[in-house]
Amino acid sequence: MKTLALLACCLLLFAHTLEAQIAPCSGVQDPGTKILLDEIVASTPGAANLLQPLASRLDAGLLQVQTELGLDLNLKVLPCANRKPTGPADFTRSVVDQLNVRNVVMEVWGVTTEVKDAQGRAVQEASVGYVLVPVRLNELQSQRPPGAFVIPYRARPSDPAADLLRLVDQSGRLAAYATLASGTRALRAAQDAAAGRRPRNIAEDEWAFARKRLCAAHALFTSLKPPPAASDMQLVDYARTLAAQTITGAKADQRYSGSLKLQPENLPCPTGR
Amino acid sequence: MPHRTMKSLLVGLGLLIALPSSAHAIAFSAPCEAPYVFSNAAVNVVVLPYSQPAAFKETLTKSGEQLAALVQLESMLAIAKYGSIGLVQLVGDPREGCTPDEVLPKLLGQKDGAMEALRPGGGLVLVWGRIYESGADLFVQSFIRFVRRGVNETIDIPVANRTLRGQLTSQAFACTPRRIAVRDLEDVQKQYASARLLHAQPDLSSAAVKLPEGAGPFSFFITDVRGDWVQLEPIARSPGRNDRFQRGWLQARTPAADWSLRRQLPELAFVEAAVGYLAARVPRDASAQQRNGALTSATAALSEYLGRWRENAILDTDPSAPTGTAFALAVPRQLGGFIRLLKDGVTDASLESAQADFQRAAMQAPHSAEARALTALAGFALSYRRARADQSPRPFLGDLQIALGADPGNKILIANVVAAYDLMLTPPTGMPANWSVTGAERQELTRQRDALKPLAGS
Repeated sequence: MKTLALLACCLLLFAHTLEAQIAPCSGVQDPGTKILLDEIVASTPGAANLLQPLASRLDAGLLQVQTELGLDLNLKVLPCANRKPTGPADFTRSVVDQLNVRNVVMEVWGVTTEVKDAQGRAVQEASVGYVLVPVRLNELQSQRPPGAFVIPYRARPSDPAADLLRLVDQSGRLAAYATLASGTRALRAAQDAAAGRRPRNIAEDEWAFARKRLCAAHALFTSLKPPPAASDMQLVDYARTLAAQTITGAKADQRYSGSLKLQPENLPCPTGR
Repeated sequence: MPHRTMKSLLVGLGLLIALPSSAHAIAFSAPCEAPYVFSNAAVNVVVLPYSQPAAFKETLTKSGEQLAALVQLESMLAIAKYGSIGLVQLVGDPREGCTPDEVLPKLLGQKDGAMEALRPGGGLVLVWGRIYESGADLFVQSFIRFVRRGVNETIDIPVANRTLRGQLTSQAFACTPRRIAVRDLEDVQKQYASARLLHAQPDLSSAAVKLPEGAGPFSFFITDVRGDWVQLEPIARSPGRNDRFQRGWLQARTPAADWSLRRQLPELAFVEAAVGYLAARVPRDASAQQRNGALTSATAALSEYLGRWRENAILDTDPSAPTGTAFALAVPRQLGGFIRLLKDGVTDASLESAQADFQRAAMQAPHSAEARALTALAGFALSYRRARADQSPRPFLGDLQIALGADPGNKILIANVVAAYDLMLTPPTGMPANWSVTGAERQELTRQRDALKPLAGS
């Protein structure tokens, strides 16, 4: 009995800790599309010196996304102090639902770690976690594609900070993710409006908006520096599939009269490189 | 302080003045919460403080603000030649809202809170950035947005009796991050200190008065420029701060042999180019020669930027790898094409040159439907004008259709496709025989055109 009580206590404490790591983020209720940037943490003391560069790099990368895509999306980047996800599993259905209703399209977190390379030398690694909220919602419903994942970046010991700058988002990965997430969200909105599940947005051609974002995401993924991460390969296919769905959906939508109605169903998105 | 109260106070102090439209003016240390521009100037450059980590070296806590001040001064020297310009340095904490998101809607009159907003059609270049630290290294990244109030930057390309209209991919971009040394920021400090002194003569040994820190704005007419020196005349002679200053000379940059901010940040050449481009397009009392001169200077500044953008940049060791800041190359190249077409008019030579720029931009930003469309428009116009059997405009119409498939709600793009259909359906006399469309093709082109026409923008 005593053991059981202790176990229950431990479980409660663990659950509480996990919950605390997904601490609420102030400003998340504000109107507009949002990207959350969580607190960057060092998992080992030796990795602390990469903390600041990783935080700065992600912050600057997201500022770039906001600057270059922001007017289209009314996008805001919210820094979330004390919010420290431990991994993709933290993004359960209820957590993701909460983010989705608050118009959060993406959340990014990071951990720096000191690891040993093949020769046993200490090298610093930054792991960046990404949750593409509308994609994660689909994943939780249909097991495809990955909507929450972690990508490790290993910096060379000789110049770890500059190397991290080169590695993290050097080829526009954040833009690809943000664009895919907003396109996925727009497609769902268009599908819901067509099915009468929500009122139609008469100020905006939602099918066209979704198509534009999804084709841009497709091109951004194909422009990433090779070799692609496994998750990226799945996401580029996903972007292509959803982009095709914008045409079939628009054509089937009897109240839609935009230019997608005239396009052939098999019209591909333009490719990048 | 509420907007209206602040405005009344400043009007009372005589700080809001009607600037002659041909004059240059500069404001230092303007509070970010009530930003302003010189609305009578054709183009304004507004510089926000570069944000920096909260836990920055103690001696460098003002680096972000000082760097922004030097960006302003460096820009002043570069753009004074354009005539009718205003420069404003905003001060405030980026963590407390001194950001482009807050400032730009106020300056464009979309939101209350600006002391003086841009007039409709007026040009603005907004510059801001980030400084970040890593061990002994510092990195700086600038961001640039250029706008005319209420106008989207487009270029008209007349083809026969139709007009095709090209759009830029974006009017804002992140520049590539650059490495700077702590010593560079120390140089920023030194240069900033020297640039806060108002001398009696353009000579460092002459008597000088120090501009105070904070509690601005301090506004001046720019009455003369001699090398690195500018002569400033206080704008407001009301009781208060500006009365302490007489006309004086400020050394905006140390001589070229020393440390140069423009060498550290090649994007300042882009700022110069963007101001020149806007100065040529803003409606104002300027001769064709002045507008052409502005475009010529803008071209030279763009070449400088595109030739030097790699300096100090943190880039992949593989030169063929993407840069991560694709728009920082694509948009300047597109602007270069626009400038060429504005300056030389739409000729075969200018179209060919612009098309080459647009093509490179489209390769750098393959996800941009506007970039693809711009290349296709230039190609279409060029082949249509040349009317050569081996150069049908048909493939370019195909490219436009592909671009429309990737941006189906773009009304300008729809109008371009409609115009291209029209041109294909009514070819010029003497066109090559292989351009003609069959009866079935004609029917299909007409059907597509008629269906798209109601969706097109004006």
